[in-house]
Amino acid sequence: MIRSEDVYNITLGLLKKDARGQGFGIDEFNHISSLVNMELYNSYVSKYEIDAAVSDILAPFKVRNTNVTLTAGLARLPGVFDRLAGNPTIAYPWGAITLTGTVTVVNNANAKVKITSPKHNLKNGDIITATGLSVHTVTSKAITVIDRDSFWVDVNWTGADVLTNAAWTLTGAERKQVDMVGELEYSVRVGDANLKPTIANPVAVMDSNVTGSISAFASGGAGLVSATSAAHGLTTGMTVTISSSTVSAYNGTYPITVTGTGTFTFSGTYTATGTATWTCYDLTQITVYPATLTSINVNYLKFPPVPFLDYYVTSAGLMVFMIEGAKQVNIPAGAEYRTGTVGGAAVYVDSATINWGWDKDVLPHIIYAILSKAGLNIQDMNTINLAIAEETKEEAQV
Amino acid sequence: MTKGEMRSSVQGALRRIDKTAKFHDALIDRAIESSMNQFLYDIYRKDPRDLDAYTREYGTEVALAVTENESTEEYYTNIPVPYVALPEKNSGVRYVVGHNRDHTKFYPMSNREMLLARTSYVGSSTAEDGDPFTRSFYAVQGQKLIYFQVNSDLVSAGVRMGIVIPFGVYADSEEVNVPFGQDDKVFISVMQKLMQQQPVDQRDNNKD
Repeated sequence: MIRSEDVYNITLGLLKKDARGQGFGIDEFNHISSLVNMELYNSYVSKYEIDAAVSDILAPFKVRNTNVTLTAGLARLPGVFDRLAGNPTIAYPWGAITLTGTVTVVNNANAKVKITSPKHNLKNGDIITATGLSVHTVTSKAITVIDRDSFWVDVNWTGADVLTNAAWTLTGAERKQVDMVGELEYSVRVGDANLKPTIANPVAVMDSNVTGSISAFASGGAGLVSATSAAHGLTTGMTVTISSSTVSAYNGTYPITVTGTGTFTFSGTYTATGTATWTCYDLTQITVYPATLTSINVNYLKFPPVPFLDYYVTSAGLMVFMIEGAKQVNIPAGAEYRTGTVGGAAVYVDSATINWGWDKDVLPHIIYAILSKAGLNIQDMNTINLAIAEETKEEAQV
Repeated sequence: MTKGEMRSSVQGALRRIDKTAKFHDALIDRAIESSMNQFLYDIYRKDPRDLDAYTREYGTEVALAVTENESTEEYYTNIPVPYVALPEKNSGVRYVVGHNRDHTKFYPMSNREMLLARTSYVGSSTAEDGDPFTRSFYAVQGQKLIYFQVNSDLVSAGVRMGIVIPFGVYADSEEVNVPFGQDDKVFISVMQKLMQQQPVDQRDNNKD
């Protein structure tokens, strides 16, 4: 983590040598920071895991082993998701239970539970736990194979089960990769007897045509409409297209502000509640085949947070930087907040500052990347050339 | 060596010619299975009794049902797993016994013999009227075992049977019996099969 304030001060310090540093305003700095942040990210991602050093630099943005629940084979990836790191994995072996029944086992007075799970890939003695059975409890029980599609467990049969997403998991199961494929490959594979997706050899495709349903609208305050959409997964700043609204005036494309895990606001005039559908291309979803699989684990890279430096200016002309996460910061009388709000005893704001998400060893690279762009702003070729040379050196040292 | 380890060994060796490891597990399994079947056939030709080492009994604890097809009035048992086909009347089903190991003896028949027996008086000469059959016959028809002469005790008790199982039937974590001392030959045979085919779009992780 690198403080935005430090980045700004160092940058300004270097520019001042040129006696024109004050010409590089804090708002310009914020704009350039956003660009440099993504430029750096793209640069390192292009060399991702080429060696340990690059992996280390990107470590703050890597999320490992996140379990994602699939609904009918589909899952929405987190809003900050950028790209997969490696393939997703599933617990294997694993199987869906399609039926339970009674079975008579030699030398057992009581009938036992027979579990049907096509191509279960278990062997005698494997220990399983079953879920989704309404009557029987099968926890850490050894199985005995009846045939390729069924086995029995040492649990007395007491009645017919109602199955609810019934499945078994193996104690000590290993993990197996889900093969990420393109649409063309999927269309070929799905009809191939050998290579079609199975629980043993699942495949997945990704897309960004993410949709959700809005169950209600409400007033979100002046000029805002609040939409209720359970577990929407959106983040502030994303663009959402609302369609098929029962209140047609809400249909349109809006940048949204997330106000809760199940609510967001968009600009508009609230007139009545209703229902609608939203689509967001900023999100990514993954579809796993076969659809009977209920969860996958993914490793992924998330976008680095967009750095920002928030501030206000005192009556004496001093710039005061606000730290990340500060709440209810008083803007004193005579001061002016970044947005132009005039300070006073009752004027409070939450800091919008976001620090750089990178490790400290990337600081020189960040500074020189900003300088090369700042040099363009103040039309200083020396700064540009020096910064580019230093930036190249930093890159070479990774 | 487990089935999974065997597959992994082949995959590992193939990486020398295919650094992206595009060979799909399912195709490796098929290649191993066809090689193993070849060696099991060689064993069969040498001495069928040696196939015991590769035979697994099904129906030991839970009897395999003997069911009547009411439209054809034939009794049958579903063969619980795929089997290795062998050039014999009973193919990969090496033996059938009553689940209670009663005195009924089972003899394999070809499907042609079964047809002839059904249309002749063969059946009526094997038991006195009212006495249960003490011997039954069976023929392998795809994934079914069709019986000739079945008594009611057998129908209620069910059967157990020994089957020569192919590679695909083993669980991934299960030890695989490689035909006697043929480990190297099986491996080489598998490699030769796979190295002949282009590993395109079998598992490419979107790299193509």
